[in-house]
Amino acid sequence: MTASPTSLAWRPAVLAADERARACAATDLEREQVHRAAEGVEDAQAWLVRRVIAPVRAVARTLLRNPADADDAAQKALLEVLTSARSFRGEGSLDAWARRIAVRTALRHARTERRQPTAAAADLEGADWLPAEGDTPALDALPRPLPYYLAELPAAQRDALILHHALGYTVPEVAELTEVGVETVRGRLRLGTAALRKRVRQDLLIGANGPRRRP
Amino acid sequence: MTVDREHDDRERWIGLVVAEARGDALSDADRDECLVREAADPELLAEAPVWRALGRLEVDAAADRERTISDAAMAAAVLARARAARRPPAPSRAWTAGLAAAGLAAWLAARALLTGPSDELPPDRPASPVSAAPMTRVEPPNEPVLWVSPGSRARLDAGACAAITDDLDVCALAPSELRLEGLAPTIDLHLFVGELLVLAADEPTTVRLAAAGGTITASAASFRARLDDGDLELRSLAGAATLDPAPGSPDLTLGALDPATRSPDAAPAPRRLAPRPRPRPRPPTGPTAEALLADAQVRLADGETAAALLAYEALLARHPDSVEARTALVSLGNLRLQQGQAAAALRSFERYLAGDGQELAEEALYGKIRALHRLGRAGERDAAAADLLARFPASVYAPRVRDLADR
Repeated sequence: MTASPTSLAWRPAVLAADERARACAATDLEREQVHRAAEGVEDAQAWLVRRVIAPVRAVARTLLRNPADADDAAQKALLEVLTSARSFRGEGSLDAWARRIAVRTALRHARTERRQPTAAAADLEGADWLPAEGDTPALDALPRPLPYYLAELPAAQRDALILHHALGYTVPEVAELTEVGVETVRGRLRLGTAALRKRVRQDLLIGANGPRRRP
Repeated sequence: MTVDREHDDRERWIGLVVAEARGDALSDADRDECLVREAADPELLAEAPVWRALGRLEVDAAADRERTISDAAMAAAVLARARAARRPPAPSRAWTAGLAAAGLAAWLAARALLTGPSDELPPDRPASPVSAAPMTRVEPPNEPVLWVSPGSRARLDAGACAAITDDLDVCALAPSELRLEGLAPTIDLHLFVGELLVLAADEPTTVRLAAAGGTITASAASFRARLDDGDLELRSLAGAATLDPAPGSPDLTLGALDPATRSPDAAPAPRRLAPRPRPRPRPPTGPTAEALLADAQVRLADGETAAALLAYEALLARHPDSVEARTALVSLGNLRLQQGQAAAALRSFERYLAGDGQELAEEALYGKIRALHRLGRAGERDAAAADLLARFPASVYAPRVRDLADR
C-alpha cells in the first residue's frame, strides 16, 4: 500500500518552491531589468520591487512571526535587493536570489532586534489562531498552533527548522545562510526536531488545548 | 525470530527518520519504506500535523492578512528611500545659515527703510505709537532656506533665519537654540536660549513657543520672543500673541499689546501690523520631500514613533503637494490609529482619499474603516467597507473588513 500525501505521518512537508525557483534561470528580460535597476533607472527599480515583493514578504513573515518585525525586515530586504542588483548574474531565478536576500536580512533583523522570542510570544497572546479542531480533519489538529512550539525552541534551532523544512533549503544552504558549519546545522536540526516532537507529544498526552481562533 | 526482525526493521526505520531529519537525502526505496511505516504508526500519525504545519508555514505566511502595510505602500516607501539615498547631500547648515543671515540683514534693512520707524523691529525698546501710514510689506529672504529638523535642537547664529513651514519662519536676533516639537495641530517650538523673531504668514497657523519662563501662544501672528535670564519676553508685531508666564516668573510682556509698556501718548487701540503675506514658493534648497519621507521611515523603522510623526508632519507642511506627502498621509493615519487617535487618523485618510492619485486608496480606505469603527460610527464604517469591497474585491483586507462590518 502506498501512502497518500494526506496520510503521511511525521515526514516534514518540505516545500519545493525554492527548488523550482532555483531550477530555472532568469529570463533575458529579467536580467535586463535588474541591470537597469542597478544603474538606478527608476522604472526598472519599481519593476524589480514589485516583481519580488511577494516572495520577500512571505519569507520575512515565515521567519518573523510578528507582523511589524516581518514588515520591517521585508522593507530592509527590498532595499537590499535594489542595492545588490549589480551582483545578480541571472544564473538562477530572480525569486531564489531575492528570497536568499530576504532570509539573510530577516535573520539579521531578528538578531539585531533580539525580539523574536518576545514577538512570537506576543503573537501567541493575540489568540487569533488557526482553528485547532472542529473545522479541520483530525489529522490536521495540533494541540497548540505551530508558532507556539517554534517559539519555545532556541532561536538557532527554530531558524534551522524553518529554513530547511518550511523554506526548503538544503543543509549546506542553511549553513551558508546562517553562517555556521554544516555539522552545526545538522545538530540544530536534530535537536530542534527532537524538542519539537517531545513538546507536541507531551501536549497530545495531556490533552492540552491552545488558544483558539474566535468563532 | 520474527520479533527480532521486526525490531531490526524498526531500528533501521528510526535511523532513516533521524537521517532525513538531519537533512540527509534518502534513496527512493528508503523513502518508500518510510512512507509505509509512517502511515501505519499511530504515534507518528499523531505528530503528522506538526510537519504538515511546518511545511505550510511559508504558504500560510504568504496568505497572512496580518500586515501593517500593503504591498503598494511598502513598494512606494522602499522606492522613496532608494531615491533619497541617491540624492547628493543637502547643502551644509553653515553655508545656508550664512546666506540666510545675509538675507535677513538685507531684509531688515529694506523693511526699516520702506516702512519707517514704526514698523521697524526695535532691539530693546517698547513699540512706538501706531503709524497711520499704510504698511508696506517686504518679504523675508526667500533663498536659500535653512529648515529646522523636527525633534532636533537647532542653533541659529544672530541674523540667521530658518523655516519651520512654508508659512512660518524664525530668525535669530541673538544666538539662539530651539527645537521643533510638533507641527500639528499647533506648531510647537521650544526656545532654550536667545532671541527669536517668529514670522507668520496670514495663514491660520497657531504657534506655541515654550521656554523656561513661560509659553507664548500666537495665531497667525508675528512676534519677538527673548529669553533673558530665565524670563521670557514677548513683543507682538502682528496678530494676536499672548504670554503665559511659568509659575514664579515675572509676568513681563513687552510690545504693543502690553498696556504697562505702552506710551501714554499712544492711540488707545493696540497697533496691529498686518500679518506677513504668504511667501512665494520656496526654492528647493531645504530637505526634499523624498528626504523627509525617508527620514520618517528610518525613524519609524528605528522605533522612534514620535520623531517619525514629526517628520511626516514636516513633509506635509513643507511639501504639501508632493507625491511623498500623499504617501505620508496614509502612513500618518496608520500611526495615529496605532496611537489611539482615531479622529486624527480619519482626517489623514480622508485627506488622502479626497486628493488626486489613488495608488494607496485600498490602504487608506481600510484605515478609514478602522478609524470609523473605533469612533463608533457604524453607518459610515459600513458605507466605507462597501466602497472598499466594491473597488477592491480581492483586497487582502476584505476578510477583516467583512468581520468588522458583521460585528
